[in-house]
Amino acid sequence: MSFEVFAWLLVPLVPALIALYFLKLKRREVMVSSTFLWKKSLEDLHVNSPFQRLRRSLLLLLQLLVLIGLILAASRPVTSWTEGGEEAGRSTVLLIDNSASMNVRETDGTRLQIARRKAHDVIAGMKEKDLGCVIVFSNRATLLQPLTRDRARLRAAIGSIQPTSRPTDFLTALETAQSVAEAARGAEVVVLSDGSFEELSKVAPELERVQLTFIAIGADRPNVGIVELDVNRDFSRAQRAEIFVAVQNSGPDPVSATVNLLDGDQLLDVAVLELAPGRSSPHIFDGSTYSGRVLRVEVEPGGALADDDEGWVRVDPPRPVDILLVGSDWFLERLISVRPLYKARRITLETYRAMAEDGRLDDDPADVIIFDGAAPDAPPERSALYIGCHPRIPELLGEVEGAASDGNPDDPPRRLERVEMPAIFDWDQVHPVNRGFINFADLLVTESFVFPEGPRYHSFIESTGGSIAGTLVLTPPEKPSVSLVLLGFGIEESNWPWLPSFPMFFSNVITWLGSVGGGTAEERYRTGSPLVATLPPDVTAELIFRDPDGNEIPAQRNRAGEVSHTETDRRGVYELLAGEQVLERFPVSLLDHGESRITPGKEIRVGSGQIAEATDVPETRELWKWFASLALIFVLLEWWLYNRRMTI
Amino acid sequence: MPATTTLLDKDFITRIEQLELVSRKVISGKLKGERRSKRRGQSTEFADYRQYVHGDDTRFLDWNIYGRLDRLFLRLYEEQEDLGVNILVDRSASMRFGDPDKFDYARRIAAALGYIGLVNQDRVRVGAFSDHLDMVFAPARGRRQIWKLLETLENLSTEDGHVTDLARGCREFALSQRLFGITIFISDFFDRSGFEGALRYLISRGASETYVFHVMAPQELDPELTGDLSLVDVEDGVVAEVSISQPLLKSYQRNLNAFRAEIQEYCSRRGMHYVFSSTGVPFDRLILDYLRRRGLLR
Repeated sequence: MSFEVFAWLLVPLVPALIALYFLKLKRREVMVSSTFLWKKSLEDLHVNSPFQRLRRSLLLLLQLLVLIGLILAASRPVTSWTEGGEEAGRSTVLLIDNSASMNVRETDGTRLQIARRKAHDVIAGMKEKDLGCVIVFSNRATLLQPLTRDRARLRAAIGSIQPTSRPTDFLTALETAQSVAEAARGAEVVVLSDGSFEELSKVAPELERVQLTFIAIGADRPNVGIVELDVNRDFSRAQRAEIFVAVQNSGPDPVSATVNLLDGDQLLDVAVLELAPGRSSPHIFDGSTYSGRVLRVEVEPGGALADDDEGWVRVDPPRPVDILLVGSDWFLERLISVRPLYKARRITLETYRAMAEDGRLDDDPADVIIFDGAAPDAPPERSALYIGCHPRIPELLGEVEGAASDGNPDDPPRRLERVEMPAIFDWDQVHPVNRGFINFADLLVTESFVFPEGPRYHSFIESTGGSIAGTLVLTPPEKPSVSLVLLGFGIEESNWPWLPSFPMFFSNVITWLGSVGGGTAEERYRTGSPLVATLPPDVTAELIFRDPDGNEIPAQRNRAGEVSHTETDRRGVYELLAGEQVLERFPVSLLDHGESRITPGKEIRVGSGQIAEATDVPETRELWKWFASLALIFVLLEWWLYNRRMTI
Repeated sequence: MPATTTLLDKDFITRIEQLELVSRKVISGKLKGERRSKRRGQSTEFADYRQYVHGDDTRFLDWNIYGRLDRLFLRLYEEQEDLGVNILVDRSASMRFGDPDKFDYARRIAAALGYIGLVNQDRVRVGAFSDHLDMVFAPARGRRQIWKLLETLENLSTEDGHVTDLARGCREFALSQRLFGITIFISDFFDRSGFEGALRYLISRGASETYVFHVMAPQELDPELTGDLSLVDVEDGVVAEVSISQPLLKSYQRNLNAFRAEIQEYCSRRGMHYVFSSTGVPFDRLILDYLRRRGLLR
């Protein structure tokens, strides 16, 4: 039973105590010479009324105070406390890594177990007035215990940390730690991790000021792991499915690794890869005959980390993707139509507008719409690619439009800014549209729109002028979400058609948009990423996600008809069930270069900023001990008073 | 003088030997006593002159003045009479309360004043009452009666189970013999039927000077009670359930003061002397100091 529940249970005792006072009031008999004057006094006072009787009953007052003290103690009130000067303690934020790489087994336990022990050592070394806080992180950060002096709570929080197969997002963890450290005015952030994540070279200034202490966990160990696993359809042959596997050797020695393709325990195919130290090698299995199955890929020897020794992939049967080209010319149509599964139709912008107006667009079978050079203001209710144009929607133009029109709704919305000769310096290599090691280094663009940063916008090509390409996710109310891919420049404004990345990018975009927009395409899921499925409305049975360990978690369908599951800590195959029927299977694998590189980092470089040691430290202090002590004092006082009266 | 008594100690007796009771009223005793009456009489104590009128006793003519002034003057002498000292003591159960005990205190007042009266040849009688009167000491005078008086008072006890009836006690006391001289009435006045009727009897019979002694215990004046109590009346068993609180105690004090003031006002309006005393006041101070100042003793 929690303290709070206990407190609520105690509350009815207050009227009960008063009632008992009346019911069980036992008066002491005292002989007096005459009650003549007392009777008169009683009549004067009307002391027989209950409240008069209660008014000056010190014993009852003390009993009520005892009860109130107990109730307050049980409700566990806290107060924000600030102490000044040298008496204030130091604050320590324990940032403990429980990502997949922390599952590596060292000589004295897993890295996570070692990190827990070292965290206990840190707590043991804290002085009485020092404050501690526990944050656990993988690709998400969770505050397990806010700042407190209670060592038991800190130890309990550390003990509750469970291993996961998630990748690492140290930036998120650092941002969380920074917010806590800032609240504590300069707490020391102690990172307990193997440091197998990328350096944070470009961070916000406040993150550079965080006072970091890095406790490295683990030793150098060889590891071989699967870092890429994907299914691609062949450009020319629709029925051919290629299972793409990349295996990384993060050890110091060359390794000859065996890669097995299995269906359950049945071995389907085998490949042997010679892996140079620190390098990865790809292999492609032919998965054409395994449509509709979830296949397992394993690598031997796997090395110290088991989480990356296996991967799962789902080979979906091929399904054509219908593409509606708006305002485009024959070049893009021909390019797309090269792939047998892609079926492109070309219409003008005026036709599109007419279709949108008379409702024909709603019945159009297009899975993906591509706007080339010009686009209507409103986006379609399905996935779309914008080439050299963009929709005029607040999610994209909000800030720019407001600045230009001063909020007057009659003013025409302003277009996005354009930049000439943007130099591309960075791109998102892990985004699905950039699959296949697409390289934008040689891409030259003469002029492009620049897309502003926003909560729903994700840039995947960064230039000197800003983001020139990215994705935008729209979530219209009570409708499925819509993904838009925005290219700020037209094809004719670049040298892209002469580059190898051009057809691959468009293939990726159509595959991704066809997938997220409800079309069909091979999916891959990483640990820690959410599983999302769009269900037909006729599914009415109870929805359950079953994780690889067999645990069943009830799921709810949202208004858009989507059902999702975010707790993907374990690698393996997750199943979405409607009653007893399996609706969809989700292969979830680690597939992370950083996690498979298990060599512990020697340092964490975030910045060199240092901040002064805290003087005033706010903390959350629990008051229940004080209230319990007060209750005890009242009990003793009441007992003393009672006995004192009895001896008169 | 008795050899021993618990009511009056030796030193105290020595100090009251020279005292006498004083009555400011003209009183008429039955026997000639040692007391100077305000009536002019035939004692040897010269009091005044007045002109001779026909019919006056010629034995009291002052012939020396006649020789000097050639006028007849009559010598007047103070009458020497005995004084009646009527003592009425409340012996109800409520008097057996307090520390010091109210009844003991009352008996000691009676003993001291009776002693002084007997020493001065006054005629002393003592009655005790609760719901009826007992004449415990018949009228007597002279030192030889002192021992009897003290013994009587020492053997006097409260009557448990009898409820105070002030009016009946006073009525029977007043009717038993005409009151003259000084009447001493000692009580705590705890009578639910009131005190007025009782005191009226004392003043309606005879021409005595009445002293009303209102005796209360310190525990009654300032009750040291706390908590939730059932107060039981020692006489009639009436219960008062109280939760002692500051307002209740204040109300009690108000009622007590009003009660005292009521008796005092009643007495002063009717020429009676109201003497209130707590048993916490030392007894010798009451007799030797307070009563002398009030004019009862000199």
